[in-house]
Amino acid sequence: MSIETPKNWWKPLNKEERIWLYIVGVWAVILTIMMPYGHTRDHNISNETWKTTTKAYTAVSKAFIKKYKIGEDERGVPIVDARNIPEGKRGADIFLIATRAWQFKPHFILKKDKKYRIHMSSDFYEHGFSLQPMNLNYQILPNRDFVVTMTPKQSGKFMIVCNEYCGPGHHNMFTTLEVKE
Amino acid sequence: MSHDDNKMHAPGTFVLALIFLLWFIVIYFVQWFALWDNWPIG
Amino acid sequence: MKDYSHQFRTCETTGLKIHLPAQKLIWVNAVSAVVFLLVGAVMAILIALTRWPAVHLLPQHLFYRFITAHGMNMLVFWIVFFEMAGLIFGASAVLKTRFPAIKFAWFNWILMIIGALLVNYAIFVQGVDVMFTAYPPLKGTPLYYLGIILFAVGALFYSFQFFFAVGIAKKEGWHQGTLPLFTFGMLVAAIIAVFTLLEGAVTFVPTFLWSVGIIPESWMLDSTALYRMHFWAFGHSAQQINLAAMVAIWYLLGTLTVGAKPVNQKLSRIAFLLYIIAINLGSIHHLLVDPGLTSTYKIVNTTYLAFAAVIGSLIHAISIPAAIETAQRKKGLTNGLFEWLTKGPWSDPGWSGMIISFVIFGFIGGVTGILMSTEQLNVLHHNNLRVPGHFHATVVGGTALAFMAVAYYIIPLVLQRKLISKTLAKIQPYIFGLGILMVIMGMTFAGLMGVPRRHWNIELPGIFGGADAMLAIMGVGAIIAFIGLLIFIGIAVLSVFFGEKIPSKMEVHNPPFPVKEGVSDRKTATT
Repeated sequence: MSIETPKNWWKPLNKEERIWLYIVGVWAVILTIMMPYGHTRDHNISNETWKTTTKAYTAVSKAFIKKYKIGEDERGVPIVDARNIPEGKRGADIFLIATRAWQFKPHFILKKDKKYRIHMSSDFYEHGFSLQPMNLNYQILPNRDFVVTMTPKQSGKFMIVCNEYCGPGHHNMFTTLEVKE
Repeated sequence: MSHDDNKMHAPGTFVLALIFLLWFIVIYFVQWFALWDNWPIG
Repeated sequence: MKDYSHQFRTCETTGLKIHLPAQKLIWVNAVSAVVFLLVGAVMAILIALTRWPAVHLLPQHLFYRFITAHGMNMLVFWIVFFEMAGLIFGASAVLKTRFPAIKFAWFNWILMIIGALLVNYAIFVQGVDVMFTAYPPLKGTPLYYLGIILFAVGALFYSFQFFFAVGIAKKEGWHQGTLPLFTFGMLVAAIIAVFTLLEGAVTFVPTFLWSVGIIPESWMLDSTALYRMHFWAFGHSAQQINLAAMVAIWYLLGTLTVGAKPVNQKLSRIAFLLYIIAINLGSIHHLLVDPGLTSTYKIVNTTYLAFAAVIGSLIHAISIPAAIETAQRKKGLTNGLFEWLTKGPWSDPGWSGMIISFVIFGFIGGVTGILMSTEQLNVLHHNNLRVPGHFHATVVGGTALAFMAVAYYIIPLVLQRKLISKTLAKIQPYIFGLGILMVIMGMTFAGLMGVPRRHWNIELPGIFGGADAMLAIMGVGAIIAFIGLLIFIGIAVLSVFFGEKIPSKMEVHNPPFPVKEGVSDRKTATT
C-alpha cells in the first residue's frame, strides 16, 4: 500500500525490473550519445553570439540595408538582394533586425546553395526567428547578435515569422525570404 | 508483510513497457531524420 | 505536550486518522484550486476558439490577455493550490499525525489567495498582457509581480511546514519508521518546490523592482538572457513539482482503486530520488536555441546528466502498472496478458482517470519532452505549437486528470461528502481525456507544420493554410475537454457544498509511539 508505513523494504529487484533497467540504461546511453554524434553532421545550433547594443546593431542593420537595397515590397519592407555578397570562408554576412514597431527588416533575396551567416538581433523586445515552412526556429534577444549559418537548398518564397510573443503587434511580424537560383 | 507479497508478476506490464519503448525509439529517430533532411544549419 | 487526541476522526475505508483542523485546510486549498480551475477553463475555451481560424472569436488584445490569465490560473494557481492540499494530506492523514502550526497554515493560504487575486486583478483590470513568461522588456504592473511573489512565498512556507510536520510526527511519536510511499513522493515534490520558489524570488523580485522604477530599464534589457535562465529554473521546475506529485498520486490511486502495493519500494524511491538530483537541470532545454550558450553547456544540462531523471520516469512507468497488474492477478484476473487491464474497474473515475492520464502523460508528454530537450532537435520545436502540445499532454492530460481522478476519492474520504452524481463522474474522465487528446494532437500536428504558439492570426503570413484542419481538431477537442472540465467542476463544487454529509467517526487518537518522558519535558520547557 502506498499509504502504509513499509517494513523491510530494501529488497533485491525482481527479474523483470532488472531487465527493464538494463534496457532503459542502454536507451539512456543512446540518447546521450546522439547529441555529440549530431555534431558530426551539418545540422547544429549555432554557438556564435556577439555582445552588442540595440543602438549599435540598429546602425549596422541600417547601413546593411542601405548598401544592398533594391526596392520595397508591397508591405513597405526594404528588399535586400544578398545574392552577390562575397561569401568568404565562413559564409556571406547578412543582417536581420526585429524592431520595436513589430517589423522584421529586411525582405531578403538569397542565392540557392550559397552559405549565409544570418545575424539576428532586436532593438527592444525579445522575438522569435521562425523560418517557414522549413520550421527552423531561433530566439532573438536585444543586445545580443546571434549568428546562424544557413545554406538554402531549395528556391522559392519562404517566410520568417516571429514566434515569441513580443506585444500587441506580435502577429503582424513577418518578412519574406526569397531564394533564387 | 511476507516476502512473497513483494514478488512481481506482471508480464502484461512488461509487454506494454516494450511497446512504449518501441514507440519512443521510432518517434525519436524520425525527428533526427527530419532534421537531417532540412537545410544545413550551424 | 498539548493534548490533541480529541481532534481526530477515523476514515472507515482506509483506516487513516484525519486531523480535523488539517481537514479544513485541505478543504480550503482544494476549493480554491477548483475556483481558479474554472477561471482558467473559461479562458481556455475562449483562446482555443480564437485559434480555430474558422471561428476566430476574440479581438487581439483580449486574446493575449486571456492567454496570460489562462497560463497563470491553470499552470500556477489551480495546480499549486491542489498540491498544497496534497502536501497537507500527505503530512497529516497518511502519517496519522496532527498537522502543526494551523494558524500559520491559514496565514499562508491567505498570502496565496491575495497573491492569486492580485495577479488576476492586474491581468483583467490593469491589462497586463505579458504572458506567463513575462520576458522583459515586456512590463507588467507592480501588483502583478507582487501577486506572484506573495503567492510564491505562501507556497514556500507551506513546503517548510510540510517538512516541519513530518519532523513533528517523528518527534512526538505519531509516526515511526519509513515514510509511506505517497508521503515520500510529496516530500520529493516539496523539496523540488523549495528550489523552484527560491528561483521564483530570483526572477520576480528584480522585475518587481524594475516595475516600480528602482532598477533601470537598460539593466533589464541587458539581462534578458539571464532572466530567461532564472525564469525557466522557476517555470519548468514548477512542472517537476507537478510531476512528483502526480506520480505520488498515481501510486495512491493504484492503492485506492484496486489495492495495489508498490512491487519494490526501493526502486520506486530511488526513482523519486533521481528526480531531486537531476530533473531541474532539464529546465535549460528552454534555452537550447538562445544566443550565448555553448553546445557543451547545453548537452551536459539536457542529458539530465545521462538522463538520470528520464530513467526515474521510466522506472515509474513500469513499477506503477506492475503494482496494479500484480494486485489484479492476485484477485484472479490471470487470463492472457491483459485481462488485469481489460477487466479493471472502468466505471470507477479514479481508475479510468488514472489510466488515461498515465497513457497521455507517458506516450505523448514524456516522449515529446525528450524530443524538444535534445539539443539539435529543439530547433524544430522552439516556440511553435508543438510546445503547448507537449505541455498539455504532461500538465493537463497527465497531472490535471490525475488530480481530478484523485478528487473523486478525496471528496468522500477526506471532505466527507458523497458525490452528487456518480453517473456523471463515471463518464467525466473519458470525455475530458478524449477532448484533451484532440487538443494535444491538433496542436502537435499544427506545430509540425510550423504554426507558432501565442499567435492571434496565423492567416497573415499566408503560409499556414494547411494547418487549418489541425487547428479545427484542436478547437473541437477544446469544446469537448471544456465540457468534461465543467462536469468535473460541477461535481466537485456541488458535492462539496451540497452533497450528502458523511458523518465523522470520532476516535481518540494518541501518538502510538510515545516519546520518553525526559525528552518531552525538555521540549515543553523550551517552548
